[in-house]
Amino acid sequence: MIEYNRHIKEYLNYNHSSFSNLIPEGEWGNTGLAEIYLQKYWLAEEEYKEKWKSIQDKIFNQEVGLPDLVYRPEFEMIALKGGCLFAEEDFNQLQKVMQEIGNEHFVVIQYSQELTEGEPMFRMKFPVNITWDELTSGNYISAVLLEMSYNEYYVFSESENWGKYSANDYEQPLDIIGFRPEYECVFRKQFEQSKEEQEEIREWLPPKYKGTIK
Amino acid sequence: MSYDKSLTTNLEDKYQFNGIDYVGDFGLDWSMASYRSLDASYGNWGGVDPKAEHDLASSPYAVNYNNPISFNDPNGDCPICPAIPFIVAGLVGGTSNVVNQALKGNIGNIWQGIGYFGTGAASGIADYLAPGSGRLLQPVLNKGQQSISGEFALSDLGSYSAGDWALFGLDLGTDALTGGTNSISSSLSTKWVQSLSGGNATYLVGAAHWASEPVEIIARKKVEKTTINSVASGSAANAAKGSTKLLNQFNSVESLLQNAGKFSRVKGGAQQAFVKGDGASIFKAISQGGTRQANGTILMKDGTTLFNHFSSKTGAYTLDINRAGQIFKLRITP
Repeated sequence: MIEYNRHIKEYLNYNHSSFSNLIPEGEWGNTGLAEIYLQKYWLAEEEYKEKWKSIQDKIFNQEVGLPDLVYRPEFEMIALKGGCLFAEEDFNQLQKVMQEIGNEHFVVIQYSQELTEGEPMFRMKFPVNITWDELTSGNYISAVLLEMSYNEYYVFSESENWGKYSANDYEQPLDIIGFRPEYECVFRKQFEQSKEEQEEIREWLPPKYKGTIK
Repeated sequence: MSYDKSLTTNLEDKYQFNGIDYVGDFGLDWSMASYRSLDASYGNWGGVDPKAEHDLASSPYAVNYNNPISFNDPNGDCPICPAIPFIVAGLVGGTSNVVNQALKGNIGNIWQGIGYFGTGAASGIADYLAPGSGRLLQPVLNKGQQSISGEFALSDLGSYSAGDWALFGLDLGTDALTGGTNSISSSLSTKWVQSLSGGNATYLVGAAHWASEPVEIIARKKVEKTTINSVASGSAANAAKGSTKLLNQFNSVESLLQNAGKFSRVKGGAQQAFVKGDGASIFKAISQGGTRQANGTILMKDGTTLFNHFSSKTGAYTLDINRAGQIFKLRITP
């Protein structure tokens, strides 16, 4: 059985079609594009368990979301505004970091959604050099993946040196990027924030993060 | 006591079926009871009976056991509850009369006993409903409410037609008449609403007969306005009633957005804010007149799209609004 069959069916007629910036409502529902996208970028459960799960566990505390600390203690963090998995600008920023570090692939693993009605969850793998147009080429599937405002995700690469937690459904949506201390310069350069933005986001942080994020 | 008809006003009567807050805006036909809402367009409750296990034979959505003449369910949880005092009064009166007549040796057979029971039961109910008992006017008090409401049985109006009766209110603090909303209408049940103006005054409300001179008052009730305003807002029992005020405040997408807290722009272009209130009630109010689409969203006539869901992490009620391409996300917390 193909692991993403439910995604093709269940997101075909989905509330986000009325809210998407990527796919106009009239173009929503191209199952051909959706299937091609999933064929190319779906991360099979077997590969996830064999390779990626152990990497994930070296970066993130297992099955923890905000307000608890999602990163292991050795990771430093930057907090950014969340709201969706990627907007074009912040994807480009992360892509530059990944290329600088020398990563080849990154994966997107959806965090469990306890209170939704069993919507199928995403588990994707993309090449680091993917273009924004290609990343968004899956019609309604990529629209839900990238934009759905209550989906939360772990993002990381094979390097085990950084991660991104998309806490879109926290009270105020946040992106928490974690990295090993030796990569601090790279991340702070790409994700530079104004003083005002830092202060605004600081107000939104859970208490456990306020004392940890510089 | 004389009564000047010209002092009555024609305020909208929002307290209608069973004295429940009525929402009729934008073609809706909802009565907002304490426990659930009634959609009169198809005659069923919009939610399951919170005490459904007490009557497994009926649908948990059925209203008054599908018999609105015999039953009355003002809170949405118990169609027979309003009748219980009458049943008790009838049983006490009937039993008491049977015992009295038996002690006097007046009961020679079972039919005489049944007859005396019936007479006693009728007498007991009549005593219970006697004018001046205050039971004919049972105010529904909501926090911040500027009016009270109640209901008469048609039989209480005697031989006169319902339209001959009018409502009145008297501010006992100033001795001034306040506006009753309208004359009693001839319907299955005769609802009344009395608006409460002025400060923390004591009001006398009642119904009076037009034609008789002096005016015949069939019922009266003193209401302390301070009592109304002192109803605790935090109790579970009043949470649904508190939404009445919110419904007035958030009765459209526009009013909701205007009254929401500070908006923060989040990634992807949406704006998020927080609102205090009852999410389900607010959604009902602002989605009036909208059409549910196949994808589960509500499309309003002006093109605005609404969607409600719960936070997958915290369970917080959340409203998504797309108004001409602007996306708003509102977290609604009690």
